Amino acid sequence: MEVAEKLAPRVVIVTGASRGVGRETARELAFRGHQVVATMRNPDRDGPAVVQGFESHIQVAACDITSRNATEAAAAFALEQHGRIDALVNNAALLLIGAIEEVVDQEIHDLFNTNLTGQMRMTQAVLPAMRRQQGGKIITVSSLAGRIAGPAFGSYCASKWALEGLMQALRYELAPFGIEVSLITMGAYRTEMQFKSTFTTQKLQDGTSVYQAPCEAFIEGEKVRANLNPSVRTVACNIADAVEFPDPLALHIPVGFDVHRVMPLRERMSYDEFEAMISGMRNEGFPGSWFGTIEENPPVPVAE
Amino acid sequence: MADPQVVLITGASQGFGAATARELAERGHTVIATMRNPDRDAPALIEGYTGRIYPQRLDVTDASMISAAVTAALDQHGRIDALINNAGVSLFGAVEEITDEELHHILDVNVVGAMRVIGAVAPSMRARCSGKIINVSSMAGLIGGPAVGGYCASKFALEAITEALRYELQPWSIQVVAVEPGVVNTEMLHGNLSAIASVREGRSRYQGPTEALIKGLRAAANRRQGPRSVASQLADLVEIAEPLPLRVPIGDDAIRISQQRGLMTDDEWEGFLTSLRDEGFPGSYFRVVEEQGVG
Repeated sequence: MEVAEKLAPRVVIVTGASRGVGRETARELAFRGHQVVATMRNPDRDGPAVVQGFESHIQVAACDITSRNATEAAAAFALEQHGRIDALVNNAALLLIGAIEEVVDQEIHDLFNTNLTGQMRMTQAVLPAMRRQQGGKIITVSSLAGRIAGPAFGSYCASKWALEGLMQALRYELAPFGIEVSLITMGAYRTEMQFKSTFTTQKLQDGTSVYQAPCEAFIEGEKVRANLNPSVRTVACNIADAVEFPDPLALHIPVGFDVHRVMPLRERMSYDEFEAMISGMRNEGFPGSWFGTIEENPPVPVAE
Repeated sequence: MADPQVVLITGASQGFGAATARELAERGHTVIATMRNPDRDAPALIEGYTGRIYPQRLDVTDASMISAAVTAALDQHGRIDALINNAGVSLFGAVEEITDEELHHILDVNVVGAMRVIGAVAPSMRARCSGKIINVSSMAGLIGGPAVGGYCASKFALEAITEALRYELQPWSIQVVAVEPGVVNTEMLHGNLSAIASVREGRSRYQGPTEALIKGLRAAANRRQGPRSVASQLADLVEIAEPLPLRVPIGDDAIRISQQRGLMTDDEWEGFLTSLRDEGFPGSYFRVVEEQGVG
C-alpha cells in the first residue's frame, strides 16, 4: 500500500533545545528525517541526551540568544553544515514569577532579553538566508499567556504579548519574501519550565513580598499541575507538522485542550465576563491558587 | 506522570489506530489493539512492544466477536480505562448513486460498530464509575461536502451519538469525547475499495468531479503530515486528569474549519466552501464541475 511520499528533509534550527518542548521537538523532527541544529546554552551538559539515537540528524550548537554574536554564529553554523535554513523554531524562554509591583528593572530586562529580544535576534540572524532562499518558516513558541494575562506572572504575560505583537508585524513584513511567520499558542504541558527555567523576584526570594502567600500558592499549584499535564509530545508533533506543512500556516497554531477551551471564550466574551470567570476560579494552579489564597488570607492594610 | 492505563483501541492495524497503539505503549500503557486480521497485521504493530500491545481479533460488525474480545480483555487485564473507537471506513461517491448496501455498510462499521463496542465495554466502566470513551470522528463530522456524503453521514451520526452518550454516562463519571482529525496522510485515503460501485465501474454521472476529488484528496494527503500528532493527542486524552472537552479538532485544517464554521452563517459558509478551487477537498470537485460540467 502506498503511504507517505517521503517529505524532503528540512533544515531546522530549534532554540532552547536542552529540555522540554525544545528537546522533544528536535528529536521529533530528527525522527521524521529532518536535519536539526539544536541550540542551547550548555551543550556539554545537555547536548548528549538530546542527540542520543539521532547522531546523524541532530547537531548541537552552543547559543545564548541574549548574545547577538551567538545567534549569528548559530545561523552561520547551520548554513555551513547544510547550506540552507528552512525553518527556525524560536523556543527558548524563561518564566518570571512575582507580582508586578515588585519586579525590578533588572528582572524584567533579563526576562525580555530572552523572551522577546532574544527571539528577535535569532530571527534576524536567519532572515538573510531565508530571503536568499525565497522561503522559510519562523515558528515561535508562545503561550496562552500571550493571549490572556493573570496575577503572579504578569511580566511573563507581558513578554509573550510583546512577542505576539512583534511576530504579527513580522508576518506582514516577510510575506513578500515567501517567509511564513506563525505562533504556537501553547497551553499547560508537562515541561520543565516550572522547575528549571523559572526565576522569582528578589522580593519573593527574600520572603518579604506583600504578595508572598498567593505567589507561593501559585508556584506550588503550578508544580502540582505540571505533573498532571500532558507530556510535551503533542506540542513537538504539532511544531513538526508546522515545519512540514506545505500550505500557508495560520497566524496562531493552538496546541492544548485548555487553549481550545479558553480562546473561543475569550474571543466571545466581553472583558467583564471574562474577568468574572477568571476571578471566580479556585482550581489548583493558574489562576485559582492565587485567588483562593487571597480569599483565605485577605490583605490587611499595613502602615509603611 | 499518568498512571498506566488499559486502553482498547479498534482498527489498530494501520493509520491512526496503529500509530496510537504504539504511542500509548511508548508511554507505558497497556493496549488491547483490535483488528480484523491479526495474523497479517499484528506482527508489524507489536514489534518492540511485546507485553505492552496485545493484538486481538475483532470485527466491529460482529457482536459476538466483540463480546468475546471484551470479556477476554477484562479477564486478562482486569479493567478497560479507555476505549478508542477508531475503526472506520471511507466512501466516495455522489449521494444520488449510493446503494442501500453501500450506505448500510459504512454505517454498520462507523456508527453501529462503535455503538456495539461501547455497549460491550460500558458495563465494566459503569461498575467502576470511571472510564473514557474516545470516538474518532473527522472533520467530515463537522461539515458536509460533495462526493463524501455517505462518509459525512456516518461521522455526523457518530458526533450525535457522542453528544448523547456524554449526558447519559455522566452519572457514572464516564467521559465521552469526539476527535475530529483533518486531512492526514494515512492508509485510509490510499486504498482502492472505498468508492461506490458506479464510480468504480466508471459510469457515475458525477465521474469526473468525484475522481478529481479522490485524486485531489490523495495528493493533499501525500503532502501532509502523518498520524503522529493525532496519535499523540489521543494519548493525551487517555492520560489527562481534567474533564475531557466534547470535541477536539486536530490539525490546522480541522481547527480552522471548526472555528470558521462556528462563526459563519450557513450562507457565508456555503459561499466560502463553493468558492474553493484548490487541490483537495472540496476544491478539486468544484473545479472540475466548473471546467467540465456534469454528465
